Parts: sequence; C-alpha cells; structure tokens
Amino acid sequence: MAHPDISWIAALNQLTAGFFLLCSFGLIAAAQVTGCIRFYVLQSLLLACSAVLLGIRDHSTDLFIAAGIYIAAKVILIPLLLKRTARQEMIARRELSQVIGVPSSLLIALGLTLVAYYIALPLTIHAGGGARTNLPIGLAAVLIAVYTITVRREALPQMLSLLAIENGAFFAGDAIAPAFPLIGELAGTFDVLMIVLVLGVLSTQVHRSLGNTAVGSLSQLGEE
Amino acid sequence: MLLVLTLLLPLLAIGITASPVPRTVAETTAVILAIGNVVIALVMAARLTGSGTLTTAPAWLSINSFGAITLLLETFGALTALLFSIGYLRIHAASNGHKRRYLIWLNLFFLALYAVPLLNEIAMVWLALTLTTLFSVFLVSFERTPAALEAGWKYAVLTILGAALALLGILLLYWALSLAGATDFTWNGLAGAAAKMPVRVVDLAFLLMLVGFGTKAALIPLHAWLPDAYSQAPFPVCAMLSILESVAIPYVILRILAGTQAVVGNHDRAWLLAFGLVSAGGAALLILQTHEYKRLFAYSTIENAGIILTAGAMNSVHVQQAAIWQMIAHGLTKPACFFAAGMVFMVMGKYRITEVRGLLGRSWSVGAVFMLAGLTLAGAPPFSLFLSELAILKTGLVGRQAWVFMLLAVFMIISFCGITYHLFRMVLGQAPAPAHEPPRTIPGSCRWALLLALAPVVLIGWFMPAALHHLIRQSAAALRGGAP
Amino acid sequence: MLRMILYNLLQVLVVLLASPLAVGVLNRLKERVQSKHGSSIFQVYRDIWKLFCKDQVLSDQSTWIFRLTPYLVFAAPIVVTLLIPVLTSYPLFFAFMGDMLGAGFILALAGFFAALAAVDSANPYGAMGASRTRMVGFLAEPVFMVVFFTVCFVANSTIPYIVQQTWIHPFANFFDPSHVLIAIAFFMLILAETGKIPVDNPSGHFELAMIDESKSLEFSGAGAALVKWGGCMKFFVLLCVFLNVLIAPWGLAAGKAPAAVVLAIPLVLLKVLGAIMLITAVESSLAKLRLFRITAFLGLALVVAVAAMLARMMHI
Repeated sequence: MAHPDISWIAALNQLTAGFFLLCSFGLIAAAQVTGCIRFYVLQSLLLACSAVLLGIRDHSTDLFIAAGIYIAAKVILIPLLLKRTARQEMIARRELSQVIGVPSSLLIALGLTLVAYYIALPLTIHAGGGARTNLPIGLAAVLIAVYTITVRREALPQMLSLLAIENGAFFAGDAIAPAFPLIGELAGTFDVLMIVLVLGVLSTQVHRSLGNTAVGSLSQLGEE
Repeated sequence: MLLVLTLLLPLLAIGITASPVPRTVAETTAVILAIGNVVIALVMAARLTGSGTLTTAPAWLSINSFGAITLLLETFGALTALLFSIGYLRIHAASNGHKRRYLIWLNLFFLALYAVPLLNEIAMVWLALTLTTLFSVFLVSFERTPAALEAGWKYAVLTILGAALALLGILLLYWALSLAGATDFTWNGLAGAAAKMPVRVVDLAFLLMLVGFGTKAALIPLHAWLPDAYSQAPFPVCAMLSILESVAIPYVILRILAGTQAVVGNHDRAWLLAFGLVSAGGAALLILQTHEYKRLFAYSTIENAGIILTAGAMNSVHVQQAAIWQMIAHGLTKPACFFAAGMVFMVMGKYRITEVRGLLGRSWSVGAVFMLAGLTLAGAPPFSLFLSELAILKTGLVGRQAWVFMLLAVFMIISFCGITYHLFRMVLGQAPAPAHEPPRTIPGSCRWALLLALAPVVLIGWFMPAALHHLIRQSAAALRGGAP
Repeated sequence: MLRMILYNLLQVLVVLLASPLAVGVLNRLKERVQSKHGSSIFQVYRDIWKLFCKDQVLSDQSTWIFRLTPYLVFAAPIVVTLLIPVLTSYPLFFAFMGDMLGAGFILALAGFFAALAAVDSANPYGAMGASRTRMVGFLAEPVFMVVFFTVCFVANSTIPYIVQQTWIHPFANFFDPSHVLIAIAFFMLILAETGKIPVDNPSGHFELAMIDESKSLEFSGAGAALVKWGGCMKFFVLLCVFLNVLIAPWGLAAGKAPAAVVLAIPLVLLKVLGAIMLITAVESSLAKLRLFRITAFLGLALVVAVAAMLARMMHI
C-alpha cells in the first residue's frame, strides 16, 4: 500500500472539521425541524469522514469500523427511528421558536468556539496532528450543542442537540483516543439509539397530551 | 458466576413480566428474584471480606468491597421498592398493561443500576449510568399527566446532557491513559497507569466527569431537574432515584478520584470539595423553604450526596471510612422515608406540607412511622445516620481542614431543624375535617416494604456487624489507591 | 509597460461589454428553470440602448447629487476593474494603485451616492429602498471586513494578484478550511450585495417589496442606462473577485503574449457562466427571506467568515 500523503489528509481533515463546526452553527440557525435533522445527519456524516481520514493516516482499522458504525447508526437508523417514534414532529412545517434570536445565538456560539479553543490549546501539546484539529472543534461542538439545548424551546431540536453533543465528543475522541476500544464506540452508539427511542416516544406523548412540543414553555412545575 | 447471576435475575424478571403469565405470578416472581439478588449481594460481600476483589471476566466484570457495599444497598433498596410498587400500583395504575410496563421499566432500571458496581471497563460504567436515566424516564413520567411528562422531559434532557459531558471526560481520561502507555481501560488499568498521566488532561477530564455525573446526582447548582422529577415520580421510583444519586454516583466519582489522585490529587479533591459543600449547604437551605414533603426528602438526598462527596474528598482514611458509613446509613434510610411519605399520601391525598396536618390524629400508625422515618433521616440520636454524621464530624474536625467540617456541622444542623420543623407541622396538630371519601386502606405489601426498609436502619444504629465494618475499612483502603 | 496598460484597458473593455451579457444569461436561465420561454440573453443590451436613446427627465427639486450619481455608479466598477485580476494572473499596470480594501471602498462610495440620490429624488419608495439597502449594507459590512482581513492573514498581502496565488501553492491549501469557509461567506455576500434571491428579488416589480431596485426608480434616459450598466458591472466584478481571487484562479493568462491574454477571455467567461449557474440554482431553490430574517442570513455569513479567521489564527 502506498504511503498516503499526510499533508493532504490533514488538509482534508481540517476541511471536514470546518464543516463539522458549521453544522453545529446550522443546528442553532435552522428554522424548521427538517432543517435540524438534515444538519444533524450531515454532521454525523462528517464525523464518519473524519474517522475515515484519521484511519487512513494512522492505519487504524478500528476507526474504519467506527466510521461504519456512525454511518449505520446516525445517518441511517436515527432518521428512521425518528420517523417511527416522532412522526408528527418531523413533518411539522412551522417555524421553530427560540429563547434568544438566531443572530445573537450565532455570536454566542462564536464566543463558545473561542472558549473551546483556549481550553483545548494547552492540551494539544500532548497531541499529534489529528488532535490539534479535532480536539478544539469537538469541544466547540459540544459547548455549542449544550448552548443550543438551552435556547431551543421544542422537543425534537433539543433532542438533536443532545445527540450533537455526542457527535462532538466522538469527533474529539476519534483523534485523541484512536485506540478507544470499539466497545466504547458501541456503547456510545447504543446510548444514542436509546436516547432517540425514549425521547422520541416521550415527545410523542407530550405532543398527544399538550398538542405541541414546546417543552421550553412548559411551566406547570415552578421552582419553589 | 455470582456476578453474572446478579445481572441475569432482573433480566429473568423482565422476561416473566413481559410473558403472558397472570399478573400476580409475575409480581411474586419479581419479588422472589429481588430477594435472590439481595442474597447474592450478601454472599458476595461475605466472600469479599476474605479477598479484595471478585472477578468473573477480568476485562468485564469485577467487584471490589466498595462495589459490594454499593451493590448491597442497591439490591436492598430495589427489593423494598419493588414490594412497595406492587401495593402502589394496585391503587394508582390505570390498567394492567400500564402496570406491566411499569414493572418492566423498573427491572430494567435495576439491571442498569446493578451493573454500575459490577462493570470493570470505565466506558461501560458510563453506559450503565446513562441507561439508568433512560430506563427511569418513563418511571418518572409514569402518571402521564402533562406535569409528569414535563418533569420526565426535563429529567431526561438534563441528565442525558450530563451523561454526554461525562462521555467527553471519559474520552479525555482514556487519552490520558493511552499517553501513559496503558492499554486496558479498566479500574485496574487506571490505578496502574495513574502516576504517568499528563496533569492537565486528567484535570479537564475529571472536571467534565464531575459536572456530568454531578448533573445526574443533582448536585447544586446542577439540580434544575430534581424538584420536578421527584414531585411527579411515584414514591418507590423516588426511593430508587435517591439510591442512584447518593450511592451509585458517589461510588463512581470516588473511584475515579481514587484513580486520578496520584496525578492531580489536590486539584481534583478541591473541585469535589467545592461541589460537595455547595450541595450540602444549598440543599440544607432548600429544605427549609420547601412546600412539598416529597421535595423535602429529595433535597435531603442532595444534601447527603454532598456530605458523602465532601467527606470522600478528604485525604484521610478515617474520614473516608466515615463517608462510606454515611453512604450506607443514608442509602438504607432514604427509601424508608419515601415509603412512609407514600403512605402519608395514601392517607391524606395531598402533596403539600401545609395541607397535611394532624397525621397522628388521622391515622395513628402512619403518623408514627412517618415520624420515625423522618427523625432517622434528620439524624436524630439512636439511629444510624446520627452515628455516621457524628463519625464524619469527629474524624474530620481533628484533621487539617477542620473548617470544612465546621461548615458541614452547620449544614447538618440546619437540615435537622428544617426536617423536624416540617415533620412536626405535618404529624402533630389538629387534623382537618375528614375529606368526603374515607381514607384509603394501605396495601399490605406497602406496609411490609416499609417495615423491611426500616429494620436495618434501626438495627445498624444499635449494632454494627463486624463483617460490615471490615468491608468499610477495605473500601476506604481501596479509595486510598492501595490494594483494590 | 505600454502592454501592461493595454491589457488593463482590455480588462475594462471585457467587463464593460460582457457584464450585460452575464446578467442576461442569468435572467434567461432563471426563466428557463421556471419553465418560461424567457427573454433573449441580449435583452439587457437592448434595454441599455433603448434608455440611452430616451430623454432624461430630472426633477427640479433634486440637487447635483442626483445628477452625479449615475456617473459614479458607472465609474466605480470600472476603477475596481483596474485593480483586480480579470484576465491575467500577473499584476497589471494599475494593480498596485489600490488593494482589495480600496476596491471595497470605491464600490461602497458608489453605493453611498446611490442611496443619497434615492433620498434626493423625494420618491417615497426611493427613501425606503435606500434605508433597506443601507440595512443590508450595515449587516454585510462586518462580513466584508472579516473576509478581507482573513484573506490578508493568509496571503500576508492585500493585493488581490498575490492573494490568488496563495490558495493553490501548494495545492493542499485549496482544502484549507479557512479558504473554503471564506468562499462560502463571500458567496453569501455576493447574493446580498447584488440583491439576489434569499435577500432580495431582482425580478420583482412590486415597489413595496423591493430593496435594491427601488433606488433607481426615478432615473430616466441616459442616467437610468448608466445605473443599470453599472449594476451589471458591479455584479460581474464581484463574480470576478469571487472566481479569480478566491475560488478558482485557473484559466487566467500566465504568459505575456497577446494570444494568451485573448485566450483567457473565453475561459473567464466560461467560469462566470459556471458561477451564474450556481446562482441560478440558489435563486431557484430558495424563497426570499422576510426582511427581518436577513439579519439571520448575514449573521450566518459573518459567523462563517469569523470561523474562517479563527481557523486561520488557530492554525487548525
């Protein structure tokens, strides 16, 4: 096997990382549920791309298998599961409401990216080439997704942001811990599928009992 | 073999509940299997007093004495919760299918909970903890009212959020491990490679895991989901959530601390100390101003988790022993409290403290039992929590960080006052005019569950088995990074 | 030396002559996509010619600003053309007269006067369009700045001729995230600045919904022709910057022989055609945004641009 050109792969991986981050921004900015789902699936696809690229660079079979798992679970299974458990929500074509408007949210997300960079910077001295790209971006994706959960008012976008945190964590994880036991990947994936199943059913129940899933505006249970 | 069996029994219970056998048969077998789990846990604990660890498959299942204590508390809590659930369901479940689903989810929850102290691979421990959330979501929203669904949603979203942050922490920890040259990602591997891990990575990893698992344990200020979830969940589910928060999660956090202390010991201890103190203090104040007796007990769970973590963070073997003792005492007491509260609800039909008056006049037995459970929880003298809290203060105040324990003492006194204040308001006084409907009779299984749960609380206050003491000493030694 | 000046003038000539064609092709393509027959691709030339033949009507209420504006709008893109690479990959005579920031200022000057003239005409729609254009302009301004600064960071230069070479030497640079992100941000800017669909509907005839077009409603005769032509050239120039400086600096003449430069003309036009097809796809598949969603659109562009800058500064 010819030795792959490292600089090319690093450049492509950086590009993937850039788009990965953009998908996080997209999850904040998307105005409809379908948009959110598309961004999530795209992000998962980029996660798999990055795993493949890093796998080529490190000659790691584990990462190829991980990429396969990502594609099977996150790109194929999750949209199917969502369709099954939360159908009404998926086809709802109304504009999503947010606690903080899109432009301000985007600026805050940018700030979070900087924070992630400054957290990750001192760590990257331990890291090889892949981690220098993936660690800050993965951390930024995690922070942005956490922020997204707090500003989104509706059930499905909140759930997708939860899943996006997992994406961010594994995006960083693929680079820093390429030999992370596959069992760990499987555990994460199993967890993601269970989240979709449980929260999907729960959101349908909420929908049935309230007529919508604006969970953010539920306020029956006040803090004392 | 015993370890596998522990996980098989709940699975068996799920299978039987899901199969079309009569409901009473399913319930009876579930209870018998739960008793079996307690027996197994006891046998394991007995064996562990001899050797340090029990291992079935080195990479997968392994339990040390700390784990055995955790498992014992979990299985015992599960048994009583199951017993109580059977009576509770007779009153509250809408349909047979509803009951069966409840039992299935409850046993799945037990399965995940038991797996926490048994698993050896840290990523799998994380998975087990996450699954406890996912399996308990439908238990929390069991009533299916809009309020219950809202509580379930908040609970699910916030705790899954925490789990995801902890996942990042675990990945970072694994990075640190692989940088130190370790290849297995088990508790043993962590202990073996600890000294060579890079400090900053471990630091960030520990903080992420602390925040992540802390969200699940509802440590203040990460407790946003807790008041709602506890006020909506059925009483036996509250009991099990308390076990999860004050037993299983401190188990995991303290074991991680034991692994990382060789690198960043004091740093991580400080983080843990801060979280623990804020939780203990904040929860003590929340206890004072709460309006529902269910939330009262929920806040008390946070307070105790805070105390356990604070004491567990100390760099002293005696304080850590006391912390484990506190974990045992609280893990035994809290289910009894929720069962007693459940009986109060069955008698009075109200959740708010101000709406419950003159409990003794309404039903002498329920009032007395509620009083007893409440007093044990508050830390009144002859019971086990009193002794363990005393042990923490006694060992801590002579150490170097005495100010921490002075603060803890203040918090304990505040929460004592808060709990007894609310308790006396509910139990004593003039009973309001009886409602139109006569008080519901309390099912027998609920009474049994409460008696069973109260028995060790009272007993351990008087008499501490030598074997248990030995286990506590071994666990504290393991937390010091010594022999497992 | 003389040759360089000649080539520079040739560039201006190409922009002058080809820009109405580009707009015509774009209109035609869009109408074909909508299953209409569509007007000829040379319709824009005919419009301009027709307007030149007509009398100019000037309001006696208007001031010199209104009279001056058409010439400024027409001249600004021509000056910019002198600064940017349209046909050649080596700097021409006027290349060092101003950098990209200078080009941006010149275009902004024309925009400023166009807005003033719209208010000057006292047509209520003009003032409305001017204020809306300014709104879009204000939102676009930071994006422009960040894009330029990032480009300067990358190339250590603000001269477009130098910038274009850094993206492809070595070729792995082409996949640099900051490059790709900048290209995306700049494309969004072009859509906003030239009034394309997610921001503005260029083929709308409803004054209340207009953003860009309503500013030029009061111009007539030669003035209207100049404004229209200037708009076409601005579009063409921005496309040239996008293509030749940011995305695909291929097909430009590398040699100094006249033949090479002449050969570059069809190649550049081909690239422009590709960009026009991309814009057609975007315009046909998106709906026009509500006025107050434009902030979100340009906010996204800003985020993309800043992300590009961060990616550059962090060396990730």
